[in-house]
Amino acid sequence: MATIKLEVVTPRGKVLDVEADSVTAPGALGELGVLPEHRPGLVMLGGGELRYERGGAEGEPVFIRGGVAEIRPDGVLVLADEARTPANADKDRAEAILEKAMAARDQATYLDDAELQRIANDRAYAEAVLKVAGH
Amino acid sequence: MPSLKDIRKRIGTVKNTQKITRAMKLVSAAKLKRAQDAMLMLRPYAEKHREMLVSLAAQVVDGASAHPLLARREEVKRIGVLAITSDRGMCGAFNAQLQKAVARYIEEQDAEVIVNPLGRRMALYARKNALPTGEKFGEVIPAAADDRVREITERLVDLFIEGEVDEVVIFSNRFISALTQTPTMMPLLPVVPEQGDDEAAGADIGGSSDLFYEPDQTSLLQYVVPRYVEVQVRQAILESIAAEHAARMNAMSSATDNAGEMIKTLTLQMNRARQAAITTELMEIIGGAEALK
Repeated sequence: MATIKLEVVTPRGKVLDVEADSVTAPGALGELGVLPEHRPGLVMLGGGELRYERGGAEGEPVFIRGGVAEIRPDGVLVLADEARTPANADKDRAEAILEKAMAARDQATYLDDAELQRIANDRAYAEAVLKVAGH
Repeated sequence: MPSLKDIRKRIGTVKNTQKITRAMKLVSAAKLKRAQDAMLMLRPYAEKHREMLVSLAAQVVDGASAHPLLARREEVKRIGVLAITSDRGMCGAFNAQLQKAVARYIEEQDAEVIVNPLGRRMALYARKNALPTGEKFGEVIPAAADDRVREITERLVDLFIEGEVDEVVIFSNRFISALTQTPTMMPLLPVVPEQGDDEAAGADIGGSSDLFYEPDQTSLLQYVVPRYVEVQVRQAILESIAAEHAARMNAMSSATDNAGEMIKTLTLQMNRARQAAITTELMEIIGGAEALK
C-alpha cells in the first residue's frame, strides 16, 4: 500500500518525519484528511492536533500552533510556527498561552484577520495540549 | 632595566589577564555551541519556507499586486538598513568589519540610507559618526526571542508599507565557520521570490500547476510572505549571534596565546635579571675576600 511521507518542521527543528498511511491535519477551515495520491495544494493550518495512521495503528499526535502545509501526492510537509509531541508539550506553558490569547481577544478594540487567526490558533493549540495532559 | 620585583609583578598581572581570557574563551565556546544549534535548527524551516514562497509566487499571475511586500518600487529614494552587531566588544574585528561595511554602503548609495541599529555596538557607532538613524532596536541577545523578532519585523514592514523607505536590507555578520565570519548584505524588502541554488527542480509542488488552495491564494500569501520576512530576520539575528561568539572565542584564544608568549618573555627577563643580581653579589663577595688578603 502506498504511503505518504509526513514531515513536520518548525523554526526550532524537525519534529516529525515518518511514513504514514493517512494524515489528519488541523486546517484553518477545519480538519483535513490526506490519503496517498491526494491532489497537490497548499493549506493554511490552524491550531490543534495533527494525527496520522501507520500500519493500522494511530501514531502519536503532534500539537500544531498555526502554520501552513504543502500537500503532494506522495507527502505532506507541515511548516508549523510551533509543534510539539505530547512528551514535549508543557501544560503550564499551554495554560499561559491560553490565558494570553483570551486576554488579547477580550481587551483588543480592533483585531485584523491575522491577529484573529493567531489567537484562534493559540487557543486551539493550548486546548489540545490541555486535553491530552488530563485536565 | 626594570627591577626583579617589577618584572615579577608584571608576570602576575599577565597571568591574571590570561586567566580571564581563557575563561571568556570557554564561555564563548559553550555559547557558540548553543547559538549554532539554534541557527542550524532554523535552517530546514527557512529553506522549506522559501521553496513554498517560490512555488506560491510562481502561481500568482501578478506578484506585485498580490501582496504589497512583493511590490518593487520604481524609484528608490530611501533605503532602510537593519544593521546587526553585538552588544559587547572583545570579539576582534567583528563589529568594526560590519560598521565599515555599512559606512561604505551609505557612501555608495545614491538614495538616502537610514540605519536601524540592532546591538549596542552599532547604535554607539551610528551616534558617534552621526549616521542618519531610524528605529533603534536595542540589544541583540534578547532579540532572538520569538516575540522580539516579530516586533522588529513588523516595524520594518511598517516602514516599508508606509513608504518611509522603499527598500530594506540587512547587514549582519554571517557565520561561515567557527573561524570565519563575513559581513554580508541581504535584501529583505521587497520580497523577491528567488530559487536557491540547489532546488531548481523541487520547487514546483508535485510537478503540477493545478494546485488547490485552502482557504485561498490571497490568504496564503498573506501568511507566507510576512512569515518569510520574519524568518529571514530571525536567521540574520541567529547567524550574527553565532558569529559573535565564534569571533569572541577566536579573539580570546589568541589573547590567551599572546599572554602565554608574554609570560615566557617576561620569565626570561626575570631570570636574566636574577642571574645578573647573583653575579653582582658574587663579584662583591669575591672582591671583598680579595681585599682582605
